[in-house]
Amino acid sequence: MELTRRSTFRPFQFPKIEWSWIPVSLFVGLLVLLLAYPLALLLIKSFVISRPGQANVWSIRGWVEAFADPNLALAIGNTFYLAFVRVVVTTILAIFFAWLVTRTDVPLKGFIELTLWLGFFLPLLPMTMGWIMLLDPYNGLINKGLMTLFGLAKPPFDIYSYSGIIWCHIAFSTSVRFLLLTPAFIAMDAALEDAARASGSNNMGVLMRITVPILAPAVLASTALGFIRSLESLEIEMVLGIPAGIYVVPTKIWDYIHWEPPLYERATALCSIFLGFIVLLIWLHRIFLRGKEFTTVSGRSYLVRTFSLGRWRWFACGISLLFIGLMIVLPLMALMAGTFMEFFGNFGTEKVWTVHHWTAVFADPVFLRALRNTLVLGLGAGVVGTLLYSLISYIIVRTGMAGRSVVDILSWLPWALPGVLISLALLWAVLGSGEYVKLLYGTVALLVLAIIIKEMPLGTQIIKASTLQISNELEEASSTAGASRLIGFLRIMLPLLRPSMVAVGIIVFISAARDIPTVIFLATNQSRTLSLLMLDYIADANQEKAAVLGVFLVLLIFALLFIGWLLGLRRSVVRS
Amino acid sequence: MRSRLTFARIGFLLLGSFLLTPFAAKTLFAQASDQGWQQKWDAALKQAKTEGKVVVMGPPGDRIRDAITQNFAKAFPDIGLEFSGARGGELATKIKAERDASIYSVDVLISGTSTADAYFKPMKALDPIEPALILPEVINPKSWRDNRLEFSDRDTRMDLVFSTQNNVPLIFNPAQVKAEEVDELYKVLDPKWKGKIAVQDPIPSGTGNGVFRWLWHVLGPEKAKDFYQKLRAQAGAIDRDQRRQIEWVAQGKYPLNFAPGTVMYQLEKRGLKFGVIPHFKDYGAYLTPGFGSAMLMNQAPHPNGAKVFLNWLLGKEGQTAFSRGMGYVSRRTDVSSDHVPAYWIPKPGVKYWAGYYEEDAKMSPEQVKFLKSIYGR
Repeated sequence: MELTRRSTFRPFQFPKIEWSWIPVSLFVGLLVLLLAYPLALLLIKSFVISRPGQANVWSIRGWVEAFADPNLALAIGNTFYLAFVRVVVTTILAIFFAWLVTRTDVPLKGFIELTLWLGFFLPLLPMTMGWIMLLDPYNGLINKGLMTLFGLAKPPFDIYSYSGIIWCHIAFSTSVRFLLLTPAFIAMDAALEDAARASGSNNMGVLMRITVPILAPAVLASTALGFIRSLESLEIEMVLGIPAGIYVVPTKIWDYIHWEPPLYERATALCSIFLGFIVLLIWLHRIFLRGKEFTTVSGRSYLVRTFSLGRWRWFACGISLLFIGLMIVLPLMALMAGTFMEFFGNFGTEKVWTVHHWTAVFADPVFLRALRNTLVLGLGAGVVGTLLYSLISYIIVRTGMAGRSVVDILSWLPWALPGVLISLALLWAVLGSGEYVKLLYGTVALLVLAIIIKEMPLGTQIIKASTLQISNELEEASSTAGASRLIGFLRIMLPLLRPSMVAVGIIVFISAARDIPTVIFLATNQSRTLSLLMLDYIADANQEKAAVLGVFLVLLIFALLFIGWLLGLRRSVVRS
Repeated sequence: MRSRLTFARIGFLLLGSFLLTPFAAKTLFAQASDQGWQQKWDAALKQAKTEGKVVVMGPPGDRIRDAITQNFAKAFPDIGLEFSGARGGELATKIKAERDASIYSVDVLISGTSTADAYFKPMKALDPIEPALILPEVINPKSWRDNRLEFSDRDTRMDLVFSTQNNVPLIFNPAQVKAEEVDELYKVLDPKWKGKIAVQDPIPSGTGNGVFRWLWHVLGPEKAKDFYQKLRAQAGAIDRDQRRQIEWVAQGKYPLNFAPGTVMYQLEKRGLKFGVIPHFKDYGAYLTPGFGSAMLMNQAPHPNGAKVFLNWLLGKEGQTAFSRGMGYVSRRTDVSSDHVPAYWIPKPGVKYWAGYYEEDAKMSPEQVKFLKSIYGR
C-alpha cells in the first residue's frame, strides 16, 4: 500500500529554467519598453487635438482630417513611384559595384570603393544645391553650357522634376546600398562560384544565378531598407519637388509638423501609411526566408577570391569611373566651390568668391562645444548602437526564446516615423517616467539613445542578414568545447560580423552627426550638436555656412576613418 | 504794526510752503524712488550672480544668438547666458512637456507675438513682465515710442513688444520691373505679370500669413477673397523658402516676389540686389515686431537673472545690440535706426496696420478655409 502510494506520488516540479535566459529576457523586456512605450505614447497623443498648453481634447478628428485630404492620394502615388524607381536603379548599381569590388579583378578597385564610400558621406542637402547649381533650368551651368554650345532654345535639363529628384538621390542611395551589401559579398565562399564556373557558367551567369540568390537575405534586407528610406525621404523632395508641385507623403508630414500650431496628430496618422507598408514588408520578408538556408560561412574554411573579368576589366572600370565622376565628383566639386561663393551658384553678385563662410563657422563661439557633443554623440551611438543591434540580431536569429518575433517587429518600427516624431515620443517618455529617468533629459546620452532607436531598423536588419550567413556549426563547436553562449557570441559571432558591424557603426556615426529632427526636442543649449548649429545657419538663410559644416563633417569622418585604418580596421584585417 | 507784519510774514510763509509742497514732495519722492530702484537693482544683480546664469529661449538663428549672448556677456560677465533657439511650435511643445514633468528650465522667452498668444498664455506659463522691470530708463514711458510700453496683449500685459518695423509687401528685379509699375496693390494683378510672381505661401505662420491677414483687414473679406484668387492665378510659384524666392528675384527668374521674408535684410547685406516696394501707395503696409517681443516665464529657475536680462535687453544698450544684430527698429526713442534698412522704418503719412495685437494675431476660420481651398497643397 505504502509502496503504491509512494509510486503514484509526484512532487510538484517547477518548470525547468535555463538561467542564462534571465538576462536575455530582461534585455528583451527593456527593449520592448524602449521602443514600444514612446511609440504607444505617440499613438495615444495622436488622438489629442488641443494645442500645446491647453487642456487635452480627445478626438479622432486629426486622423480623419489627415486622410480626408484630397491631395493625399496623389502624394502617396508620387511617394511610391519615386521610391520604386530609385530602388530598382540603385539595387542594380549597388549589386554591380559590390560584386565588382569584392569578387572581380577590376582595376582601381580601391579607388572605386573609396569614392563610393565618399558618396555616402556627402551631405545630401548641400549636394542637392550643387546639382541645382549645375542643372537649374534658368541658370544651371551645364544647361547654360549646352545651350550655348548647341544653340538650344530651351534648357535640356530641369532639376525641378521627377527625374531631377531621382537623379539627385542616386549617388547617395547607391553608396549606402553598396556599403550595406559589400560585407555580405566579402563573406561569401568562392567555392560556390567556382562550382558554377566549372559547370560552364560565365561571369554574369555566376552573378545572377549563384551570387545574388545566395546573398538574398542581404540583398532583400538592403532593398527593403532602401525602399523604406526612399518612402521617407524628405530633403531633396522639399527642395526640388515643391517648386515643381511634386508633393510626397513626407512633405505632407513635414507640413503638419511645421504648422503653427504643429499638427502632430495628423503627422502621426500619416505615418500609419509607412507602418502598414513596413508590416507588409516584414511579412513578405519572413515568407521569403522561411525554411531556407543562406549560410555561406561555415566551420570549414572558405575562399575569398577574385575572378578575372578578362577583356571586360577596363570597360567595367570605365563604367565605374564614369558613374563616380558624374554622380559624385561633379556635384562634390560644385559643392566645394559653392562654399567659397558669397551665394551658392550665383555668379551675378559684385563679390562672387569669399572665404568668409569658412572663417565664420570656425569662429562661431559655440562651434567647439557643438563639435565635442557631436563626437560624443556619434561615437556613443556608433559603438553602443552597433553592439546593441548585434545582440538583437543574435537573439532574433540564434535563440528560440519567446518574444523574439516581437523584438524583430519592433526593431523595424522606428522607420515608420520621421525623426522629429521619434524625438517627440522620447521627450514625452523620458519626462513622464519618474525622477531617475528624467535625469537623462538635457544630456548627450539621451541624444545617443534617440539615434540608436532611429537607426535600429538599418543596423539590426543588416547585421541580421550577416548573422544568417554564419552557420550554426561554429557555435555548436564552441559549445562542445565547453564555452558558454556568451563566450561563443563574443569569440565567434562578433569577429565574423565585424565587417557588417563596422559598416553599420559608420552609418550610425554619420547619421548622428547630421541628424537634425531626431534630436531637436531633446537637445538643450549644453547638448547642442553641429547639426543643430547647421539649423541656426539655415534659419538665417545662410545655406553656405551650413554647407561648410556639411563638408567639415565629411572631412572629420574621413579623418576618423583614417585613424581607424591606422588602428587596424583595414578591410584586409576585418576580412580575417 | 509789528503784529500786522508778523501776520503778513506768517501768511507769506504759509502760502510759500503751500505752493512749494508739491515740488518738495516730488523731489523727496524722486530721491526715495531713486534709492528704491537702485536698491532693487543692486539686490537683483547680487542674487543673479549667485544664481549664476539666465536661460533664454528664442527663435533659431545665429544672428539673434550672437546679438544677445555676446553683448550680454560684455555687460554682465559674471552671469552666464544660455540661449537656445527653436520655432514657436517646437518651443511650446518642449516647454509644455517640461512643465508637465515639473521641470522649469526657462527664464525668458524672446519670440514673435503669435507665440505668446497662441501657446504660452493658454499654457499659463507667463508672469506679468512689468514687476521685473527695475531700471528707470526701461520703465519710463518717455523712453518708448508713443509714450508707452507696448504689449501684444493689452489687457494682461505679459508680452512686451520692443520693436516694430514695416513689413515689406513686395520686392522686384530692377532690370525687369520699374517701381512705379507695381507701387499700388492692384497693379500686381496686371496681366503682364501673369506667371512672373513668386508668392510666399500664406498658410503657415510667417511673413506670407501676416501680409494676407493685413489684406483681409484693409480690403474686407469679400475684396480680399477676390484678390487672393486673382493673385493665385497670377503666381508663377507658391513657395515657403524665403531665401530661394528672393534669390529668384535677384537673378531674374521671377521679376516679383509677393510677401518676401525678413531674410531679405541679411541677403541684401551680403550683396543680393533687388528693388523694394516698402508699402503700397493705396493701401500702405503693416507693422510687425518680427521676433521683437519678450516674455517672463513663471516659476523661472533664475528669477533675478531674468530681471537683470530683461532690464538689459529693454534698456538702451540691449536694444541697440538687438537692433544692430537683427536690423530691427527698436521702440525705444533713444536707439538709433541708422543701421536699419530704410524700407523697414515706418514713414510718416503712410497707412500702417499694427497686426500684432492679440485680437488680430490669427486668421479667422473663414479666412483659413478659403486660403486652403486655393493655396493648399
